[in-house]
Amino acid sequence: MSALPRGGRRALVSAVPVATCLLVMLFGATLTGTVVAPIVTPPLVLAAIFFWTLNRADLMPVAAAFGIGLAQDFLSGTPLGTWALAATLACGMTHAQRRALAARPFPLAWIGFAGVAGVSVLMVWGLVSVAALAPPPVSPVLIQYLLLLGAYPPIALVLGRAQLATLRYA
Amino acid sequence: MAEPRLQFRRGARPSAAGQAGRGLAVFLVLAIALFAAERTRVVSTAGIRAAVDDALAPVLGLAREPIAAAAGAVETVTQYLRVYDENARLREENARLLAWQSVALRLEQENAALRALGRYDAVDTPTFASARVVADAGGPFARTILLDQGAEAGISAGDAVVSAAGLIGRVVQVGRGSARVLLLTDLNSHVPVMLEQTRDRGMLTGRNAPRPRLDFVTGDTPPARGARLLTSGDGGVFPPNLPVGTVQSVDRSGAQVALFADLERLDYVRVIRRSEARPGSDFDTGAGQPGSGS
Repeated sequence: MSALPRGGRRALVSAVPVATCLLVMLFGATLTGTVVAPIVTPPLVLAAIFFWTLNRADLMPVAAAFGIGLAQDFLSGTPLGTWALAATLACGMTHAQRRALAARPFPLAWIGFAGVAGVSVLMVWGLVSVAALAPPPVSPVLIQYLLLLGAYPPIALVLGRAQLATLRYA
Repeated sequence: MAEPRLQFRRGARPSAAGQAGRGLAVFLVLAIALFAAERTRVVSTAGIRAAVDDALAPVLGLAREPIAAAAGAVETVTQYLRVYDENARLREENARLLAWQSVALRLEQENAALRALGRYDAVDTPTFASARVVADAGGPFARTILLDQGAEAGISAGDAVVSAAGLIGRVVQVGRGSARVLLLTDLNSHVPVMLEQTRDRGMLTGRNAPRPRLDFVTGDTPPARGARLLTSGDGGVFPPNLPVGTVQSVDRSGAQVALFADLERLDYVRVIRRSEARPGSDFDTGAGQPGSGS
């Protein structure tokens, strides 16, 4: 890291939040349907977007969240704009909550995530219903939402390590 | 949690953060516009989706390697733990299959004799392209999978996709080296099927849940539990007589269907090619050619 010029280092490190979001997304996509996770993995990328917006809002603008959501749309084959809207909304809501949640104990951030993720998932459910002219069944969505809530602490732990390891160079 | 240690950055650069939060409305509107444009087919996104899938397929294929290895290890360990039970089960199954084998041999001969008698022209044998599933990112909102073979292997949109056990869906979008498959369980999937015994027709509709529904069944009697379903070939999208599943439960308006294929654990699948040009057929070029998927 220190071998690079300061400007280069900053640029590289600034890309860490978006890059880790994309990695988390690919991880979820490759895991689903294998023996490791025969059930559907939840949209882990929402957890990553929430984490970075909360902790490094300057490196997770809504434009980046929009782009990540769009990538999720392409990856999962959902109608374009569905996850883009959900991710943008999640990022926007977290920006608004930052003052209340930053520098508070972890459980509070977790509760905040429950709210943000709930609204986002509900939004996706609504848009998919409109697109297919039929509502998807509620129970798998609910299970996925609960799994997502359960996945937040480990994701926050891993991304927290990534933050400590890299972002002090920025 | 590592959370308390992270506080050194909290609240840093409030002005930059404020900047980053702006433009929210713009991007929300942009997302809705994209959604509306694709839904109303103002713009066609098939080309760009195929291009993105082409770029993603090799990356996802590579990313799946270590996970597949881990999955293999888990499988091996569980198999060791169950080896005695499994052996007993296989012996029993083997005995049953041997009985079926003799039936099959007899039927094959009978069939050959009848064909010779009636100068029967066999239906074109379809050719297959084998492909590996590289991503399955659906969830409750969409049930699609991404394959690592595309137009170069002779796959085209509309081709039926089967696993060893039965039909799993159809190709909805093809790139050069990737194809996206709409699974039978997706909300947008409607497949004409028939009951094997009675030949009653029906429509198999996905619900984004593990079990699709059988609706609009012709005939006077409701389908029986356990009845086998095959594709009917009506509409010309799917070849007829592909095994689909069995009727699991029956209600007033239709039935729930348990699919033969385990859609939760798909690894390699076969695409039934319909296109005239069939480069790299598994059958006429031998194993290991494009389409073998390894």
